Amino acid sequence: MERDHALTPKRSSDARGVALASAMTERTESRTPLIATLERAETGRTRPGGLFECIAEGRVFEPVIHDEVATDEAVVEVDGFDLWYGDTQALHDISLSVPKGKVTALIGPSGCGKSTLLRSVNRMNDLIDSVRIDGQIRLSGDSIYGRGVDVIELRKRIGMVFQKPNPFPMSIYENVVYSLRIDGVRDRFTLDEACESSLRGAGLWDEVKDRLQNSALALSGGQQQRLCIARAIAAEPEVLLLDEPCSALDPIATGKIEDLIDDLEGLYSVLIVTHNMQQASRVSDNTAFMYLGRLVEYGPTESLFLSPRLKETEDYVTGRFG
Amino acid sequence: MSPETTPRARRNRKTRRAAILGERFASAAITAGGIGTILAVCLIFFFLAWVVHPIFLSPTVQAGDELSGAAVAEVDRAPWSMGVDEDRLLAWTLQHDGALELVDLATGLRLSVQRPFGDESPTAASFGIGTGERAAFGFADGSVRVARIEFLADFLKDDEVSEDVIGLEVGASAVHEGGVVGRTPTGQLRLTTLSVEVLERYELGTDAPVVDIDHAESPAGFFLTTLQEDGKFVVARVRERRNLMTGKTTRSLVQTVLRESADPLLEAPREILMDGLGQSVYAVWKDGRLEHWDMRVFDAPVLREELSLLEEGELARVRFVTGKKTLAVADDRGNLWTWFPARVGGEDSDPTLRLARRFEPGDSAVVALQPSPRSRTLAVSYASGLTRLFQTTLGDKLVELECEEVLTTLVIPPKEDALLGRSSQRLWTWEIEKRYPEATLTALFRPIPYEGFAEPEHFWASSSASDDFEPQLGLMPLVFGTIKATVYSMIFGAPLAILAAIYTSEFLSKRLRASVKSTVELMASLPSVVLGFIAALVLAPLVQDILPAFLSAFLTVPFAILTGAYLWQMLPDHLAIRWAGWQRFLAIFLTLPLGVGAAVVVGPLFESLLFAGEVEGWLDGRIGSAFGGTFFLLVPAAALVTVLLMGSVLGPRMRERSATWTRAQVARFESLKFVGGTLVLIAVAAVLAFLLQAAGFDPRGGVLDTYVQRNALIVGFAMGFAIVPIIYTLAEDALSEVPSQLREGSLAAGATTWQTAVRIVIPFAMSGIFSALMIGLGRAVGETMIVLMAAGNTAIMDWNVFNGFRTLSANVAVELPEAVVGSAHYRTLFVAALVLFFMTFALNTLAEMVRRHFRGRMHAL
Ligand SMILES: Nc1ncnc2c1ncn2[C@@H]1O[C@H](COP(=O)(O)OP(=O)(O)O)[C@@H](O)[C@H]1O
Ligand SMILES: [Mg+2]
Repeated sequence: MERDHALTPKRSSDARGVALASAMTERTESRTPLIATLERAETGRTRPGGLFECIAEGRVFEPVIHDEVATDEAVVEVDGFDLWYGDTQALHDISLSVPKGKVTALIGPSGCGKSTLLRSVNRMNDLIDSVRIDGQIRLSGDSIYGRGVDVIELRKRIGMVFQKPNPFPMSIYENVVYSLRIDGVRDRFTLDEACESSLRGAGLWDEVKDRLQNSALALSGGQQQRLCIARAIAAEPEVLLLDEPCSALDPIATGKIEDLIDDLEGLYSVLIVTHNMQQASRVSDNTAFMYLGRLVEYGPTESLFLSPRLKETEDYVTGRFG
Repeated sequence: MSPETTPRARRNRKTRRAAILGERFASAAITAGGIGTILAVCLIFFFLAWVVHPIFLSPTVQAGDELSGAAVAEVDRAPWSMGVDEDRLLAWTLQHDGALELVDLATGLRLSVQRPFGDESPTAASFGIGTGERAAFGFADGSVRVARIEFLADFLKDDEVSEDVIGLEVGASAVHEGGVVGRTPTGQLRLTTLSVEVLERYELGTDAPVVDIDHAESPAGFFLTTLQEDGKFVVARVRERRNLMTGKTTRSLVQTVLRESADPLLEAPREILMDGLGQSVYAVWKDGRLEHWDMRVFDAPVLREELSLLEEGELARVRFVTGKKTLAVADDRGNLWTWFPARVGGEDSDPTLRLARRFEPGDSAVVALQPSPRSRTLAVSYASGLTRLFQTTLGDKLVELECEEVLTTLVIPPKEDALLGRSSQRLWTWEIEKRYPEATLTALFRPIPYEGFAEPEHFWASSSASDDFEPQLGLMPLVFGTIKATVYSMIFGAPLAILAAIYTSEFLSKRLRASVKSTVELMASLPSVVLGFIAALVLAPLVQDILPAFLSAFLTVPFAILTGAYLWQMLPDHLAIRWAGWQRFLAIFLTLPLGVGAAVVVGPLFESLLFAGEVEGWLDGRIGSAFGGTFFLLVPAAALVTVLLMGSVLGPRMRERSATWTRAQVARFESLKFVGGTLVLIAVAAVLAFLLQAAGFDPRGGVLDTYVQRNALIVGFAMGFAIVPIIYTLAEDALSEVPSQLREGSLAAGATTWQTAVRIVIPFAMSGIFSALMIGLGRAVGETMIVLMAAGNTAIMDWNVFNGFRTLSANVAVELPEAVVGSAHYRTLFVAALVLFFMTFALNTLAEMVRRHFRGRMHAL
């Protein structure tokens, strides 16, 4: 099917993805030795058994943050953030800033806390009784966990798309304009316009424009996920959180979503969780690698994939473990 | 199994066999269980249907037996009357000349002839309809004599009788000592004899011959009315008092003269009749003219009305049917009607005669009319020899016979198992199986012009102490009662249960949810008899005592909760967020007693403002104007209107403006809006109530009316207790089953919990919520103990919340133990059970269909 985007990609994502992938296969042997990195990361202490073991034992270390990512204007800033599920700590002292207008990917083996971090940004973790947090997250400078923050208002500024497509059991149209409806918008014109532009933005307009009043549940999985993206961008969020948006989809649908994310770049700030290296390399500008609830390395996608500073990052991105 | 198989493989195979066995066993057990259940339900249905089916069978007649010869002496005039005992062994005939003959019906032999009045022959006679009632006779000298002619039964021992009597088989009979001995099915010897007692003698009017007489035995006394040849028309009342010391009975007679003498220009009436209570006296002329004398005030009779009973033709016969209230009127063209007195002009009017039924016309003049002693069955014979049995309540023709002779006298024996008719020469007997003519589908489900009713009505009154009572077997009041119980219970229970389910599933933390849920489920373990008991003996009197406060609570409690919510919004942000836990919960709980307290305070105020100072009197319609109650009823509707108005008018305007406001400002504005809205609401309700009052609307007589202690409100409350846990549990389950990713998706989009609940969760859980409601409804429909104890059990059709009702289930529970097995009443109760069965069945089927519809909408796409 031909894509009909309202937005034109800034560059060919495919080309970049291929280039990265091929670069990754011609692996260079010249890596910064682990010990050297560690020494740089943590003042002079040696860690027998490697970084992962060190993390597993709960010893403190400094994540490697590439200088390039620090310069951009941040939309979300995570600052020394800890999170506990009951007595189990799921996030340890995470600090990272998500640059505005760019796509930032969170990668890491499953269970490392990517989703938890993502859900902390729009306070979806509030729904879990046992969650306790420490540290700060800021959205465009406003504290998220500050006293007196209205969670509902906060969530209206953030869009989120989940792992499994979750269209509401209503028509396609109503799904897209859901956020406007709950804000009490009744004006037909505003709603129609928001619906069309969001569906175009999500690359779904041509496929569904003739059946907007049909149930959203009749769509295919990939279409449903794009509908969810349309629903999220209809609210014109400051940041879009995507939690493994393609993990439940087939390769073709995945491709479409990836193209879409690429198109969103520049218009929206996107924080995407994935454990698919190819996907991270194809769609993101920056990538953060997490392990066991800690941020390990964070930098521009190209350098993280092609010249990671840590051996562990390299092992992970080349699929030697994870 | 091959020997090479490894032990492991063998073990696997063995396990699998056990598993297969288990599987087979389980599936067989489940299949058997399922089929068993279906079978059991079907069996219950068939059992009910089996008990019910005879009411649909029509009566049967067997060809006539004729008895002739010596038994029936040829006489030129038809006898005064005839009687048959309940085993149809003997028949007496009082001939026109005063001779009383006794005939053995088995052989046709005349056993005896006696003359109870000596040489005199009565010139007029009136006989009771039931067995054992007295008869009254008028004589040529103007005197009146009362007599009792009845059959007596006595059980004999074998040594008291002769050989041939001892040898009697069951069912056979033999003549013995002036009576007849028969062997009963239990093997006893039963002697039936005729007893004739001539009792008192009265002189009522002049000494002119009595031309017609009627009498009535009522609790108010023994009444007589006579018409004499000189036109004197009197009514007499005899009061009998028995002295307990001496055992002597003293009689006091008073009389009222209706007519002193005949009008020379007018013909004398053909018949005079007096109803069973001695309250109405009728005189009927040959041309069908009727005078209705109202004797309710014995000393001051009133000529209530004069009317014509016939359309054309001449009066042939007029008689009372059983109960002596309804007149059966027949003309010489074969037409037959029934008339009875009813308060046609309303509750307070005087009873006047109204035409009740017109029966299928016969082919010739009516010769004889004879009511059955036991039921509303009327035997009619025509000049052509045609004879029919009619059911007078319903107007149905039961049986039709052709006889070659004209039957001048008819008898329906006490057991109603035959019809006897006498021609000038013969005595005919037809065996009849009457079955259940009073319980037809029409009788059960259509309005019927019951005796004394101004209009045809649905009515249930199945039994009474007296034999001559007209059974009223209309099931609609019971169906109505069932629906009323269900509706009011659901009005109270359903919103509560559903809202509670939404609250616990959407707003409470998991831990609290579990404990709340199990607490509510504990409510379900209260036996309904306990609930009914508390409702009837504690709640009902209490509510009656504090009615104003109780009614006010319906307004003050929601108001208190809303006020609490608005006040909570006014809390500073940091407090509101910090106190979002148990503190908020506590605050919600505290609003309840506040609302109740407010009700106690404003109750008397409401009472004096809206209900003229006394709610019960107001409800009764005695005092106050319609305004107060209308206002009260309109408050919920006005609230809805106000909310919608505010939402559509104020909402869009304020949205833009309030965008920049702080939380506190918004909260303050909202509270102002609430206060303003309340005022608007009161104004709207008041204006509407005023307009409605001006238009003549009065809620009294509709959903509000006279207060009865045990009423639908009380039942609604008590039944709420029974249905809330069921609806709550099922609805909560349905809501919890909504996939959490939908909830999260909505919340992540910035929806509030309430918006998520209303827009996503509830629509998704609709099929489950609906079936929860339906199961609650099913429970309410079938619920017996609570309604039995708290509903008052009066079978009236009236939506008044403050009145009781009688449900199908309570009716079956109350009456089945007392009903005579196999009687029409008994079978009708089974029809009631069947109707209940169908109602719940239809409800469940409907519920399943709607549930599938919702579910299909949610999932199938
Ligand atoms: N609701 C929860 N309650 C308790 N522990 C949780 C919950 N959700 C996630 N966790 C734990 O937190 C850790 C991080 O989970 P998650 O953020 O889902 O990982 P990822 O998305 O990277 O696979 C895991 O160890 C997981 O078991
Ligand atoms: Mg995850």
